[in-house]
Amino acid sequence: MSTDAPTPAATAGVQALPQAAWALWVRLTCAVVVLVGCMLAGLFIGAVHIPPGGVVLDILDHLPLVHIDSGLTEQQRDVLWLLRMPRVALGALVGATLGLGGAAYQGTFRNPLADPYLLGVAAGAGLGATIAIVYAQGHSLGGQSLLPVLAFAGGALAVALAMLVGRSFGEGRSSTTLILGGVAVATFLTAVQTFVQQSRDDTLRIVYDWILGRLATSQWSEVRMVLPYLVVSAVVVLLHGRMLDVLGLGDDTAESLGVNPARVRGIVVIAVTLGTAAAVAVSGLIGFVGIVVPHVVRLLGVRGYRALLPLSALAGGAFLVLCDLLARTALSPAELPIGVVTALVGAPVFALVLRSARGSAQP
Amino acid sequence: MIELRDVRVVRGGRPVLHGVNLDVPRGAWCALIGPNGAGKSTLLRAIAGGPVDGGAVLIDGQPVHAIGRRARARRMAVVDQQPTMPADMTVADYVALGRTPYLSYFGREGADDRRVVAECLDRLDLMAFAGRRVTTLSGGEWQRTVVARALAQQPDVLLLDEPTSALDVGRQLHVLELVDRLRGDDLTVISATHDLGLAAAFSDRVALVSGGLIVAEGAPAEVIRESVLSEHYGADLRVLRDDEGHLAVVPRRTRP
Repeated sequence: MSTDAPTPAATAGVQALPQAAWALWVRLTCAVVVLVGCMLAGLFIGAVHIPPGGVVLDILDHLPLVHIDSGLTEQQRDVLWLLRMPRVALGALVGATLGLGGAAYQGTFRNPLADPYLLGVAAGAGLGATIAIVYAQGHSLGGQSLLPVLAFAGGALAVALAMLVGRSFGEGRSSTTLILGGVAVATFLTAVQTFVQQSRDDTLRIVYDWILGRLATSQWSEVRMVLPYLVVSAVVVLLHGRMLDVLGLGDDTAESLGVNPARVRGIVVIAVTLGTAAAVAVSGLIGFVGIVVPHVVRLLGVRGYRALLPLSALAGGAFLVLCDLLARTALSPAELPIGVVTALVGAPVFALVLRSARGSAQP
Repeated sequence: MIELRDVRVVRGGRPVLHGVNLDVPRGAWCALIGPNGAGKSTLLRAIAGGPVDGGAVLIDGQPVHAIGRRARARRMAVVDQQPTMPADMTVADYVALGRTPYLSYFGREGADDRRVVAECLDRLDLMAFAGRRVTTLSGGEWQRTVVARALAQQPDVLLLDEPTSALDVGRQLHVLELVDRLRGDDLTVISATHDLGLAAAFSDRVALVSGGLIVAEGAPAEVIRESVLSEHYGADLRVLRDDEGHLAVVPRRTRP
């Protein structure tokens, strides 16, 4: 079909089409400011008093070519750089990964209840971690604790199994068969995990601690270990924003637009699994972030996955850092499990969001 | 030119199309009519490159299944019977998705794409709605938006599956008139419809599909006849013609 010369109305309308890029940049800038604010709060507040000004100066002192005396004591520096900083960094990274994964899955499966654990990554990681705790505590692989290794492997294998099972159902390429495959695999692996967990009373508490999520023991080594996986996962998922918009039209329409929906879904699932399995391996099972954060971002009027994905990542990071701050200060000096805090904060927020959205917060 | 040669489709072990032959010249509007379950939608899907179990669909002499997915989407656009309405999207963003076949896998719309989108919105009288969410549109506005998205693919062939079934008669006419206007660009239209009056009013050719076969094909007045329709629809139907030659199909009750 050829097109006629554009009419004046069409020419004028071009200016308004289709995405107002500046609006996305404004939102991204705001989200970055919020994330940085939450991270600074995470660094400022804790059992040991560290003056906020000193924290900022000490961070600036670590920049290349900048030399500033922050006035912090050696002990304050150790608390800041060896305890709080890796914890806040890991919280931001894990939260961003879960927020991004949740938004990506809600688009991939056109399901508002989807979260990054939909295809069994949590059940698989839970089984891997439980096996490591029950049977291999104290063992290591090349100097690396077995727990994150087995949790990562368990999560990734569970999703691979879900994809295989999903494909074996009839034509097996739709999002529904993939979800059903995930349900089957997750149910089976959870049963095995429960069996392994119950077989040893003395490790029950450790298993539960892991399942409820933890950032308390975060170290730079864990940040370094998961960072490559999280970055690769995030880049691949973020590049799929437009494709997720196309998938939102349904598989038939996506195909008529020249897109292979099964292939797009497969790539997104693999990328999300890589990130989620890595995040879960070091932080345990932190719930609600992946499901709540994208809906809250939608409530702020964000449309389309090209905007929703990066904003969900930034908001997810900020949300988890704040929840972790609550977890370690609410009952100080005791700590609440981070998974409990995200659920306690997330569930009412989720209900409020759904109430306010009145059905408009659909993927 | 679209040519169907002995197209056969089997679904769940049951033959749905038994060997369909059909020629649709470039720039023509061919309406597929027929009772429920006759195979109209399956036929449209086969033309769009869907799976077939025998025969061939040719577009300008080239087998449609030999054309790559994206290249096919640049030549052929589909308007489904009940297209999914994405909640979060504006009309302009929705129509812009029609540019997908022209973009690389990770690509985004450029100035040319935005120009085409603006033209399609303008042609379908949607410019005033460009920033509106699709969920706030009326049935007629939404249907025009879907057609605009299909036209943004700049196709040679437009496939419409019951395009106006959810609209009142006024909006049906409005949408179909807009599509008819586009045929000045050599656009070939193949539509499946239950509305025999609208099929007669807008199409150059009508193909009656029944039992997985095309049982009658020709100009609207040749196919939309009482004896032919009554036999294949299993109902007593009267065909009325006004002074200007417009056809209307009226059902007759078997009991008074």
